[in-house]
Amino acid sequence: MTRTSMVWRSAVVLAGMAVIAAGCSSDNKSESSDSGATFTDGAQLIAENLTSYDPGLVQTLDESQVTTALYDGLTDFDWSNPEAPELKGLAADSWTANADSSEFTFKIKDGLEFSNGDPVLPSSFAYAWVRNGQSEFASPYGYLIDYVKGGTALQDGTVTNLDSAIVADDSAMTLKVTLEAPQADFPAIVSHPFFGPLPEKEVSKLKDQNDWGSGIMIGNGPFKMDAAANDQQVVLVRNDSWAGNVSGDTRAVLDKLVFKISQSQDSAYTDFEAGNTQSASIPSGQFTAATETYKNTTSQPQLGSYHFDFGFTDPQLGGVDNTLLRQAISLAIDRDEINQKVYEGFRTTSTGITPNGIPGFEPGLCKFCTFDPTAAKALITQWKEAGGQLTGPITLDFNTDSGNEPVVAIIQQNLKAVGIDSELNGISEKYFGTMAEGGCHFCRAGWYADYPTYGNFMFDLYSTASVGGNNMGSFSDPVFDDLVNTAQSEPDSAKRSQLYRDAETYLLNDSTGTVPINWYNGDQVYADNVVGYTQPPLGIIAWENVGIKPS
Amino acid sequence: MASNTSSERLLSVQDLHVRFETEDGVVQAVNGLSFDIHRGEVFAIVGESGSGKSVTAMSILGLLPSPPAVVEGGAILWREDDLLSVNQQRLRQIRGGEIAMIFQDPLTALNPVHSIGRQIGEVMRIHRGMSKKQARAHAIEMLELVGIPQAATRVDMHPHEFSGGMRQRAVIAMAIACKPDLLIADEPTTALDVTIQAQVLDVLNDIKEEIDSAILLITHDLGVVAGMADEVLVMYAGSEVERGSVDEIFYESAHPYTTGLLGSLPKMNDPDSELRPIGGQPPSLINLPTGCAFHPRCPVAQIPSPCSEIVPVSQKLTAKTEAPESEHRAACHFAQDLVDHARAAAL
Amino acid sequence: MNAFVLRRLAQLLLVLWGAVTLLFFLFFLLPDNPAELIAGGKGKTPDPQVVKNIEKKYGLDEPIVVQYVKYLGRIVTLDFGESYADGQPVTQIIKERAPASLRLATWAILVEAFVGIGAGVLSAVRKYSVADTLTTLLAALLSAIPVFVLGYLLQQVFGVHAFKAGWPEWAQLPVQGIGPNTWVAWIFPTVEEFPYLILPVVVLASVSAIIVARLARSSMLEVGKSDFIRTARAKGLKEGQITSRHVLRNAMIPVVTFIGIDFGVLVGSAILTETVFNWPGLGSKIAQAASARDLPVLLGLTVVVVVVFGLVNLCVDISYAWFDPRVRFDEGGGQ
Repeated sequence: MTRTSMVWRSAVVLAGMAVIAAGCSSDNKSESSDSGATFTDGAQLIAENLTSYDPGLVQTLDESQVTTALYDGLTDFDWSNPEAPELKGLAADSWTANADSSEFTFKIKDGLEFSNGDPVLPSSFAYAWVRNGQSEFASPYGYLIDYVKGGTALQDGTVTNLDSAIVADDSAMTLKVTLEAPQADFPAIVSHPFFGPLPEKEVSKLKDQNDWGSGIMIGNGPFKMDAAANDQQVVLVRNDSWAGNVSGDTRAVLDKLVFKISQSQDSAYTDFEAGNTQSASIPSGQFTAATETYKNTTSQPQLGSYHFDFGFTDPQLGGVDNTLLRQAISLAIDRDEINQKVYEGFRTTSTGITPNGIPGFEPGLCKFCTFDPTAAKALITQWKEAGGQLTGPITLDFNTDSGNEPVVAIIQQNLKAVGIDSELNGISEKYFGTMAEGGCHFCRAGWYADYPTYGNFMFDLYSTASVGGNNMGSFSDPVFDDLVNTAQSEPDSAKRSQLYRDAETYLLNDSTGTVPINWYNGDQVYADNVVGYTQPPLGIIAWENVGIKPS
Repeated sequence: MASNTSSERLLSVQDLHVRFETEDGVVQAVNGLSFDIHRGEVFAIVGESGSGKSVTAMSILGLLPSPPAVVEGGAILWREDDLLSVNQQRLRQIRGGEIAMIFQDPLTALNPVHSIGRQIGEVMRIHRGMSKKQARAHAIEMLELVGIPQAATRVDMHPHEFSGGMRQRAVIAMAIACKPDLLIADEPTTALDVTIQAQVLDVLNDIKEEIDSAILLITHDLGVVAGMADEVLVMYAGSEVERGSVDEIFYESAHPYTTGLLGSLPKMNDPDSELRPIGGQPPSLINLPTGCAFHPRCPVAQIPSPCSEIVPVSQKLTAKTEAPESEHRAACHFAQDLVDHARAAAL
Repeated sequence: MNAFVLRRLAQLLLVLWGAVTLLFFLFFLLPDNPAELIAGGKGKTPDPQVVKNIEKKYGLDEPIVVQYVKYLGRIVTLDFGESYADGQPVTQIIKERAPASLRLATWAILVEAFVGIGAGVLSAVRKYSVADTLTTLLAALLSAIPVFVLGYLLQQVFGVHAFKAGWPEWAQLPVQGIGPNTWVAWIFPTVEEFPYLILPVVVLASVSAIIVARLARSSMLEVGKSDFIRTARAKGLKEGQITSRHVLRNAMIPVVTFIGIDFGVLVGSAILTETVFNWPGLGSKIAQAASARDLPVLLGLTVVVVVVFGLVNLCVDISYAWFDPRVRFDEGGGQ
């Protein structure tokens, strides 16, 4: 079946929808559009989550906020209807796929420009993808290039180009991509910053590609960098040559967008309360107070999950032999207590990893996500009878200063109640990298969807192919991998969803590789005079819509 | 030398009382002391430590720390001004300008962080309005005057670079810098080696001639008194016990305490003579003995009466015929007897 | 004088060597294998091949003594290696972060010295006055408050409360970060920068300033009882002149000693202060490196701190010569 090209619908209608969804009238926006407004954000960037804003290296949601304001990829989701996000062309006008979804041709819009005036061409994408995927660049998202035929070899360093798989025709304005395996979701996947365009002329000048992210990056997004990012802030200004978003907006409302970097959520919140920033994440324990004090809080459900992964290289927790122990641990944890005590009930206690809002979601997949210490104890007894033995306390890994301390404290208590001793291992720097490289025991994990697909939770987090990347516990199971692989190449969306659910059920109930805790809801607060600030389900704010009401 | 009662009176201390209000009780340091000092005169106050002689000297320039010190009663007249009630500005004029002081310990009396020259010059800068440069030049002169060799180099040295004797000379230089009318020398030689003492005394004597000022000499050392003083006032436990010319004190002592002090003085012409220190300890000034304060230590006391019961008043003693203006007085019940005895022995 | 400085510099080198050696060996005495730390978490065995590669890359497979000698050889050429965490050269980190720390510390010391001495002198001159009682109370209060609590309180008052209560602009102080980071002649903050400096400096200076004030006060009173002050009074100086010319400089000798010694405490407080105020200096980095077991960063920054500490102490010692001429440099520091 050939996928028909995405029709570029009336921008006017969509613009109106986006504005309504954003919860403000278009009047507000036009009022503020010429006020010379600066917005200083304090909610997004926490120092320890930052390594680079380079689209090829960007890793965390924090960094993505900056990168997506700077770069527009081929496609983007239109969240006008949050229940049914619609994938649309952004830099791409349209696209076609072959019968088994293993070959895609994107038609790039004419006249797109980078902020320095260089044209955005199909080759800008082709160049960027190969550059981001090359082995010496060691991008944490490098595995994304594996979707493209020969991508694995590029990652390994055995080849240095993908000329046969990625064909850019700058005169016809087409980008033809051959995939390693069928992947119906590929047009959604390319909405990730990793697949954004780069101005080849500028980037290829650099001797060390790491210098791109530490300098003034030139992009094609609604904003451009005013100065190189430092460890205090990232300053962006409006990019007047921006082409517009999927909702039809063609001009960023703000003149200037400052991302202030904080050491912790608490200090960022203090900064917000002192009037120095106009948004902040609400630190745990302050949700009630914040919602009472400030009228503007974001509380929409997010496409994000908070969970703990088991480290499968840990002899005590990983492997088939310890499944019963893992299930017992999952049953021992009181998710409601965590939600009430830590998040004041502002999150949704989860029954799986994949959250509501992802097409194919069904509630209640997890059998071991209830709180049942008695059953947990029984399972431990069973495990011990089968030869299981606790040789010492298990280690709870978590990143410090991100509000995890009270959560692990409760978990520690919960585990103690069923006779499992544990010790806390707070890590302040490069937490996720450390975990991904085999450092996980029972480790705090969190995931915001890169794009709203089921596969983004299953494949990216738990497939063998993602080990060393986002698969923090190095979970590897052939049954699970088979189910996910089949799902990925299944063109029928209902069948695909069922396959993914089967995979998740297996992950949760049969091998129990992870312990879901809760799903995120918006947890940011913003100043009274700010309009257009919404935390869409993907967590990345549409910065072009943010404005300041003139006082 | 005879006393110069006829010359200009500079200082008149009248019925001075000083007490210290301490945690242990009220210390009566000076009890109704009176004396005058005239131009050109060297007036010595002699006594053991704790007799109140230094307190008297300090109280003249208002240098006693208050609290705990309380100066009351009487007056300290400096020319027309009563120093006990004079305003601060005038007091500062007098201090260092008209009355200067030489302190006992030259090491602690000098500021360790400033050069000698600066400390001498400071007096001139305050009182004479000299520039730094002028003051330094004057300081060199002063150092030369007190006999410090290579004064031009030494003027920039710090106190710790000076020997003890040089330091005391520097202190003297500082005191005489403004040619004061009265020089109060509080134990000027006590902290010095015996060999240096004589040199410093020579300096003081020379200076006296040079600048024609009166000197109030505070000392426990009758040797020093013998070499310098005209008039002598002997203090015991805060009160005057005897007063007279230096000859009267030395040769016709009318108080057993004075005799005792003389007895503890080594005799230059009789090195083998036994030193006879006064027995016992000075009394507590918080709780003075009844009657004569000296009676517990007195070799001639008649106890109980009158010595431990009646406070002796200071009585004028019969003058010798060759000194009819003598003001020789002593506060002892047997003063006249002692004088007579001394005169008889001398014959 | 020169001999004195040279001897002190030699001592400093010795201290440096000691500090580096101690930290180096302590680090390797830890039960954790550095390579495993880099590869994963503690107490677990990551892929042995990964560990081997890392060991090779950082030379961790060699005997510890060889590593140590090599490290010493490298730091002599001012090469502190690269961060285990993100591969950033340590010299780069130092270059980027040292200025912020030095500026903060310099201002904190200046404030500590001037405010502390000022308050001390005031309360000594006006003994038992309201000002004296106030500084005494403040001293008791401030010395009981830990740095980070004080930082938090000031943030809440001059940041949050000032903003909410609508205090005038100048009284609303920034609570996070270094701001525009613009300086005149390297050390003087621009008008825009100045507000960002206030709270961190106040917090960093506060505790020691109070001690300085108490020390200055007691030292002033002590010196005030000296014989040479009586001499000065007998010379006819005004009380103000006595204080400024004779008491102050003598009273400053123990104060300057304290400030020199206190620099070490200041460095410790700076770690907390920089973290609380998100000040991009060495202190916050040391804290991070310590918890991340990032040895090259930790060692490199420690060397910087020890060097600065040594130089500051040397400056303090040299300044004694001015404060107290009795200090001699050429005779082993004796009098």
